[in-house]
Amino acid sequence: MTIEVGAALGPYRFEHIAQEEMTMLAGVLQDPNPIHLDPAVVARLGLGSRTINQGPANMGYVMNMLLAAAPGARISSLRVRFLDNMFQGDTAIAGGAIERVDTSDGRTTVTCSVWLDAAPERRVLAGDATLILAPA
Amino acid sequence: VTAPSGVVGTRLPGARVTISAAENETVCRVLRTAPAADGSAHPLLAFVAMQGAMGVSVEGLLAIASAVPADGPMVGSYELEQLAPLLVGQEYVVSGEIVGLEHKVGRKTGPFDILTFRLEIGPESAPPLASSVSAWILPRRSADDD
Repeated sequence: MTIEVGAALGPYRFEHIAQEEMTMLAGVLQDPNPIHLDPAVVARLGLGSRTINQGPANMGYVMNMLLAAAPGARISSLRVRFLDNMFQGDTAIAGGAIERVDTSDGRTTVTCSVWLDAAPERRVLAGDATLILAPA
Repeated sequence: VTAPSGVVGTRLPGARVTISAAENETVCRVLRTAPAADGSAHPLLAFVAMQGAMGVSVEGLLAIASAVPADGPMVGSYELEQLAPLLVGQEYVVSGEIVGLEHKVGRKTGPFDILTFRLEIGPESAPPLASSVSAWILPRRSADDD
């Protein structure tokens, strides 16, 4: 990644979100919300015909994108707004852009805008993140 | 259904939590990435550990706001601040509080509440290593639904 304002991050593609992954994450999160497990409930709520991916998983794709863009960096903050649903079978595409670079006491802090789309063009999540880069 | 008063300010019981290698591996598998070699947990584990050790279940938290999973609650926004990575196998303490419950009516969605709660995680008797603020959207039935 080129560390300069305006540099693009990603895109990071996550192909075909599987129901098995959503079910595994529901177990880890101890989250019984049926919208992640039962398409009939999703339909009854008028939210579509496929199960809805967990919001934390959508954040996880963005985290993976950031860590892939800046190997060895640490995510010190992440703020996201969930704008739409990601569904079972969707392909997630995460990206972002560097908004600010600060270097102080030998430590470089990078502030980024971040986003996640359901392919091809439906924005699911948007926000910002701060990375602390690994020492050079 | 409307939310009860007195919800804001409710302290969540919190709990001790240790991120297990198996839990970290499962999250990494779900996210299709490999666990870190240095013993640090995937950053999403900060969310998982805090929510898992807030001292009430997801159903229990919803119940405080007079909601149930069948209502179809969804996460509206999330903020994470992390001073240092959490480590696999390290014991941490989680604490939390409900900081907001706001009623709104959407043109498309109808009535809903936004439940906001703050969580912190860190070693016992030490400053937190991470904190989060979550806002959940709780659909509410209108009188017309009855």
